[in-house]
Amino acid sequence: MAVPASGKLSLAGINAEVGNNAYDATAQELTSLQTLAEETSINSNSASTPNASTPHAMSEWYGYDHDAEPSFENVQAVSKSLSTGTDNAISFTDQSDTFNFTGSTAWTISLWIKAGWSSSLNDNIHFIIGQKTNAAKQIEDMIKIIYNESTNRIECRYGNVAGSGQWYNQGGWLFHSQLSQYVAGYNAAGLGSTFWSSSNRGYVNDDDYTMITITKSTTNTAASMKLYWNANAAGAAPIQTNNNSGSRASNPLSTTDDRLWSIGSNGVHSGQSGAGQQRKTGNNSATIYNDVTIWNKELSASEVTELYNNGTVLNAQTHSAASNLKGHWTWEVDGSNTVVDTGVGDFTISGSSSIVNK
Amino acid sequence: MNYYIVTKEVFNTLNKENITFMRKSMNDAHRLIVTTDTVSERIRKFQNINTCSNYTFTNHSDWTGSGDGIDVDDLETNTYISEVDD
Repeated sequence: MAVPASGKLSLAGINAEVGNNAYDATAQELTSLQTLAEETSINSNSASTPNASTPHAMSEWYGYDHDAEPSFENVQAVSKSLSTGTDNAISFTDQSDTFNFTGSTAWTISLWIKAGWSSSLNDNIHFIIGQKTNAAKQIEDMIKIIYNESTNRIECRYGNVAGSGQWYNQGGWLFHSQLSQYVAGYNAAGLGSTFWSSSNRGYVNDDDYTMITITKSTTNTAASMKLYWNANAAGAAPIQTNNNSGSRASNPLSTTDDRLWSIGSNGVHSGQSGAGQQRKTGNNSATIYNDVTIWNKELSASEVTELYNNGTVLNAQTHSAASNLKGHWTWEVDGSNTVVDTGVGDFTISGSSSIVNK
Repeated sequence: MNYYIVTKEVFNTLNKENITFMRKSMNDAHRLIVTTDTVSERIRKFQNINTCSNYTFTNHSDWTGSGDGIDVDDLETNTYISEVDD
């Protein structure tokens, strides 16, 4: 609670704001205006602040909020360089298990994306991937969201190694067909019959970004995932692969292994000798990613609509489900996870990948 | 599974029900396919999924615009749908 913006002020009340972050007109602890002005560590996040120079005036404290949060800015984003390799990656290692979702946990991953690839990519681009660090195969303890330009599909897959094989559940949504089983994706994306690229971005906000959101319930099947294009529901995946039956099911995703999370590239290589790591970045021009959020719940359709905020990037920490927000990367200045209570998940932005104006 | 490169014309004659993966070449003249059928009229046949993938890395400019080849992962998990992947 801030100091009132007008009217009669109490010196002890201001002292309470400074001491307890709560202005109290009935407070009685004595202090002096000079002490307050000269010894208070002023919170510059407050829209109104006093100065420390004489003469001091009570009126300088009008509207001062000692525990004001920083104002939310959406000026910058992160550009994933087309250059590949770990030297150009955007990644962090989660050693805290904060993001160690499994097949039976609910989660939501959302990101804003400005497509940079062209219609001649004819390959996939990885939006986000989390996987076991130093994995020999990409699938180890893995969750990923990719766009395959050759088929015009967003795919979300999670799974793990299972002996010499693997298990995974995968959902695929395509956007160019009006056949009944695909029309929800067609209507959600607004791409028409042409594939998604930098020259055909479909429904975007005023800055040419699309908010892509995948939600997952606690059910361990491909049907548990839903896709939203902005606030438009594409529903459960029309293309589902459930490859987790039999003995494979006894190899769940680990809740304790450290996982490497990467934005805009494929993390560890996917079994290709000599192919290297952190590839699948796109082509043409760099794809730019804005606010990324990870939640430990399946956001509802109305909650996704709230997050989309009519196309204005929302401060996710003010979202009605903010208590379930585990990661929020705004890419203002750097790749810090702004969810303070996790204290983990700061992306390192390397090489020619960089923070850019959105 | 069988791994082939075939011409577009041959591809159009194949039984799509048995094809699990298809990627058009960059010039649209060829198709890289994974199928349970045996195809005799082919440009190239690969011994296994790894040699197939490795070939696309060596000849990536024929198959992708990314500078990369087609991962084994893609060959295994992409699902060909004849009604939309024409």
